[in-house]
Amino acid sequence: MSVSQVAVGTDPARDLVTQTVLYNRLVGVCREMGTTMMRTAYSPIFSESRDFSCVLFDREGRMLAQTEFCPAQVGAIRFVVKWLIAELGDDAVKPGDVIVHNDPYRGGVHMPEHVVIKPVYYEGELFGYVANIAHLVEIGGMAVGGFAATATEVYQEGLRLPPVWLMREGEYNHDVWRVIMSNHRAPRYSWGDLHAMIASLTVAERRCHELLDEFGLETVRQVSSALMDHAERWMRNEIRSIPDGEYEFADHMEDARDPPARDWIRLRLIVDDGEIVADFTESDPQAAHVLNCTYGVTASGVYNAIFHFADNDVPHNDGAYRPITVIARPGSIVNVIHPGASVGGNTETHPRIWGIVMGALAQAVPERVSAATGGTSCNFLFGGTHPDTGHYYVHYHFDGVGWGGRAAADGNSHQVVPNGNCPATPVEIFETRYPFMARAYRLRTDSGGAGAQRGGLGSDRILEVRAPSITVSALFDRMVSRPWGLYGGHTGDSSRLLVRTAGTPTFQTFGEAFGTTSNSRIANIELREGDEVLIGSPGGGGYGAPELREPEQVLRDVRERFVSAEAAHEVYRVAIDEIDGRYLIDDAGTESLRRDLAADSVLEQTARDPLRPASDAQPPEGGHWERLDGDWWQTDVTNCVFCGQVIPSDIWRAGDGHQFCSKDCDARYRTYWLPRYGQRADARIQ
Amino acid sequence: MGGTSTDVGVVANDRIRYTTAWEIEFGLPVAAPFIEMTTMGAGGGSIAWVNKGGLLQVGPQSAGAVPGPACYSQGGEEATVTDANVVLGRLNPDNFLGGDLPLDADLAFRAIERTARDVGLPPVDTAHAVVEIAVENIAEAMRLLTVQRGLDPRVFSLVAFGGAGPLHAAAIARVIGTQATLIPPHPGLCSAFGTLLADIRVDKTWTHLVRSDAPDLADLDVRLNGLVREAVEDLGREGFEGAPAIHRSANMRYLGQNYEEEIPIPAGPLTQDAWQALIDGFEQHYEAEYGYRIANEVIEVVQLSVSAVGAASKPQLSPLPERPPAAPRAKRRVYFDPREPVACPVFERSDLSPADVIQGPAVIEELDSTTLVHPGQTLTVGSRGLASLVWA
Repeated sequence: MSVSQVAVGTDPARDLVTQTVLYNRLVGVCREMGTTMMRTAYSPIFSESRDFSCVLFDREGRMLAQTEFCPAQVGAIRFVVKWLIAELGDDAVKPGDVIVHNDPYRGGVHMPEHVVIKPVYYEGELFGYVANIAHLVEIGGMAVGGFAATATEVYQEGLRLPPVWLMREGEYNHDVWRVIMSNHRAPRYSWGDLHAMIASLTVAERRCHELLDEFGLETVRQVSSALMDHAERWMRNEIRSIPDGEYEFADHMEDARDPPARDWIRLRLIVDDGEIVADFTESDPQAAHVLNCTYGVTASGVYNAIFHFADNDVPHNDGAYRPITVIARPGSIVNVIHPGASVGGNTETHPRIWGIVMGALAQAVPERVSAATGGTSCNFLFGGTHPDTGHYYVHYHFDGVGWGGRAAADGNSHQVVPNGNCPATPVEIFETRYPFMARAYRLRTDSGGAGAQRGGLGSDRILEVRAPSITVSALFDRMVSRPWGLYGGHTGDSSRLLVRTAGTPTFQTFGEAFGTTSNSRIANIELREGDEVLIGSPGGGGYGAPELREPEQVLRDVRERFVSAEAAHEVYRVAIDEIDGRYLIDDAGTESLRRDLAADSVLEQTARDPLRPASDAQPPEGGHWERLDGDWWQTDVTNCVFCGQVIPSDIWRAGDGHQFCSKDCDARYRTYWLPRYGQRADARIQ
Repeated sequence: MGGTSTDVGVVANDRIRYTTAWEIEFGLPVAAPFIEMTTMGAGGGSIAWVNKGGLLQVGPQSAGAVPGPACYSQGGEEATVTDANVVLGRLNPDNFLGGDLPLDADLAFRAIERTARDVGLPPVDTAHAVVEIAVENIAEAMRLLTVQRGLDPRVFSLVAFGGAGPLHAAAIARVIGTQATLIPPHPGLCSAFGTLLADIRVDKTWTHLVRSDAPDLADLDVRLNGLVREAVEDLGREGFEGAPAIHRSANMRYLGQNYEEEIPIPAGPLTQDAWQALIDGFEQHYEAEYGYRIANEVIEVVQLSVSAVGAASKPQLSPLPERPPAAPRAKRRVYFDPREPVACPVFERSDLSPADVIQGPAVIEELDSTTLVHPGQTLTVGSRGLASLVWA
């Protein structure tokens, strides 16, 4: 008997040790996939930045386990895999097959995010799927690096792949490879990275077989099912810790042009006895730019915030997502339809949605949320021919931002937005792999929003071009507006992207230097030897009034240059003297600065009276299931009238003719939607 | 489990687990190969204290050897796990270290009494709680290395050593559900004994980038031989005599990757054939591991490594002489349940032999440790002195 074999009790589904052991084994499979990916990948975006996630699904497409690599991908991959299974059908997928997919309108995330899946068969029976979602660094399209910040439709964003076979029963499907390799600018990277993804599936499939040998298929199924129910119960309990009610919050995306263009995302968050409905119905229409979200991105922004808020130990399987419903109107900024662009939805809009959920929850549970994070990935893409090797290179860089202050602590400084646990590109990679020299890389004084708990600091990074030419593109947000604070905390500093062309004395915006219409969305600008780019990331919002910050903490901030002595005086109202190069608190001065503060400067939380969701619902009026006809490549996909998801194959046709993805959505349409929006509802069915 | 901490390691399927991310302290990783161990601040000297929330805690602070537990009479005033064991009658104050360090049971009781006032429990209950908390802490460390890695502790045995190990092992085993608890002879000396039996190993590495399309084999051969020579010399300086086993390897990757695979280098001079065998070895390993190879891609050697291993002799323990079943040397009051002490027979470990089957409750004393046999447990002894505890 192998030592890892479980001493199964009479009912494995009720045996807690078996559950825990098996769950950790499943997570272990995903973790090993991730390690394989890192070890075999070509792009630093995988080996250094870990912009990928590994997930295990059962045969119905329910998520069994995942690793903690990238929350934005994990929330969305559920939709991709469900789509794949629905579109292709169980019986279409044979042992040894590998399917790739990146279509944003079919459950996808954004075009660079490629999902590969492989079925796991055990003794002739389909057990489930191993899947890996990863950001390929170059996928063609109008701009280098697969990140066309100025795109207005999907065809500019790169090569779109519906579900197609990379491998059939273990053999290369060469036709598909040839199409991909001839449409990407850096095919050697795509080749190596797709193989790294496939390698991770191969390893995971092997580990699944070992696990099934040890535990038996039936035990794994029973225990997985019990684990999902367990996660669902746990998540409901977590949500029950939020007072029932309706909480509203809104924020916007923006284009730093003159005047700035804004798209609003409006959330109504309903908390009701262990369930959450995140309703984005009143958000702005889909825009002619790249910050639209697919349904999966919007949903995963919501999941991400709720998971941040919930206990860390809740198993991250399908059950944990069941109590959360997301409503996103098709054709709006939170649910893009063909042919809208969406590449920035995942990196920019996702963190904004995360923040909007936090803002709504702040009214209910102020002690468990944070002020706004910097909220942009500071996407910076570049490519060219390396003067030392003559090889074409391309790289996708994102930078750390300040996170928001929270009840118990300051915000983290210079950390990539909460979408992913992705570290920024190390200076060593910039300088050894690409012809850039890092001239500066530092935290920016006073960039964190002032507060009793200070927002984290943003950073400045200056890169000098060391080649005759480098082509750059960038997508930033929060360049005009600033990340919000909570309860009297100040806003964090906004972002900036500047350039100093060789021979000129000062940094300018890209609009000033190159005449781009936007300073935050630029594509294909050619920089020359000696030019310098400054990537300045935003700070996080502060939490609580800065006048309430402990003087000792302000002193420490001044000593560390997180806060200037002037800001300490003006904003924090702490008098700090510099004596012999050492900063010291002037107690008397501080007392006099703070004496004037009104006793009521402690802002009260803005919790509102909870409003129960309308419950005078009409029951569903009957209906029936229909199989959708038509080819998969048709662009007029069918969306659920209630939640807005694309329906892959089977629709629930209600008695009044409306189409839903499930009976549940039909019921909610009548209990939730109609009482709120009434006849306006019909306006969204087009 | 010793005086200040407990170290936990796992041997699964006869294999020791290694890690290159071992942390000497939290947050200070050392990127060199180590045997994977987890250290808990729970030992005989671990101090019992009450946190701000009024909850009893044990460790990680330790009274160490000086001043040591209160019962050492060296000025220690804080209650420790050892003091709790004295109060519970599990440790014999007159036979600690074979009687060389008499323990003061009164001082132990007074220290526990002070803690008891803080938590509002009777002293014996407090002592019992202190031991239980230490046991829980250790069990948690074991869960991290087993359950959290997908290993089921119920198919493992627990090997308990270090002076304080056998005293707590049965309780730990009950919490995490391991099958048998094995107590080696001389538990307090087991770590030292193991060190004497361990092979001596020296690792030498040279980091240098070599492309497979332009290797300078003569230079590499010189470097490798140099590493071997240095390793063997170092072994000699550590007192090893004889012929060590030499393992040579190269860390390799496809050009452009960031992580390497360790591939053995064939014995003998690094000829063109040996180089080709190394390259083939990498490609075979890579394909076996990841399911594909990359045709016509340059392969990069990042590092050459040599380890020289000097095998230590492995003496056999001599069999125990045949003896009649052991008789208890004494009886004393021991608390397993804080409400009700039991009259517990006390055996001397050196009296035991395979003829004995001891039903708990019982206490087994020896110079360097004390083994506690709980009610409901059975202790048997192997032919070379290894004791085994199982629940009935």
